[in-house]
Amino acid sequence: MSAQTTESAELAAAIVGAKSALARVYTGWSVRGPSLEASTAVTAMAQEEAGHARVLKRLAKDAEGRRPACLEADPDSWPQMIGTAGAVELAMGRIIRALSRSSNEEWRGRTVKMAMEERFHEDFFTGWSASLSRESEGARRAYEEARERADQEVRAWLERLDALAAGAGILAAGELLRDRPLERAREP
Amino acid sequence: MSEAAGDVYEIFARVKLSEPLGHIGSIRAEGAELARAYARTTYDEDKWVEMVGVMRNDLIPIIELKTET
Repeated sequence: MSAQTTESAELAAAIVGAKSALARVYTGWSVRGPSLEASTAVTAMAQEEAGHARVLKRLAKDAEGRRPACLEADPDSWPQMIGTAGAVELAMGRIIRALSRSSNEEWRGRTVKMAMEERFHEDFFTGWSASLSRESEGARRAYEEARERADQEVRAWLERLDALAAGAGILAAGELLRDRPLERAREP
Repeated sequence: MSEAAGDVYEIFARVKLSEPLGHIGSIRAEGAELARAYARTTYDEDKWVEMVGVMRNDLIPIIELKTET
């Protein structure tokens, strides 16, 4: 396998690992959310992340990829879940949107629909982040601590993915690391 | 598990461009982002070509509801 193919497979494996972990976390919260609407949304996200992982698994071949360390343990509370998974989802939205615009047909073809679904995941976490900022001090602190820890780990993870995507010729170097306002996915 | 907090959003959608938007229900959410997220997953029974939401408080009365006193 060429170096480019290896890096593409590792990139896919890392994204598959993160999406599988998110699906696991959401499944655990699908009947424990603070409201029926929140639980229904989390259930839908669990199904979508599992589906995305299945679609990208073919690109992973036999590669192993690392997911952010913050996803290794299940969150203890709703604010922790929002802080941890929210950090990963916002990064995931950026990754998938970039891949859906790539000149690499193999990646673009698999990620256009994913990018549309990711924007709803981002809406969910953006909305809940704002809601938790108005909550009790305990809930707010739990969210902020989880989010701060996850942000650091996600940043390191993004740097690795950026290097893999650039090495594989799928994205330009730094594409995943530029700080810019969230862009909504274009409708196909 | 309780009802979601926040404002009520009335949800409208259509399955064909040739049809007008029709009221399909309402959801309660804190803000537009959560309204989008909840409406999509609550009303997923059809393949909508368009779905929009508006806060009930932003609806302008045209024929005012009269209640018996």
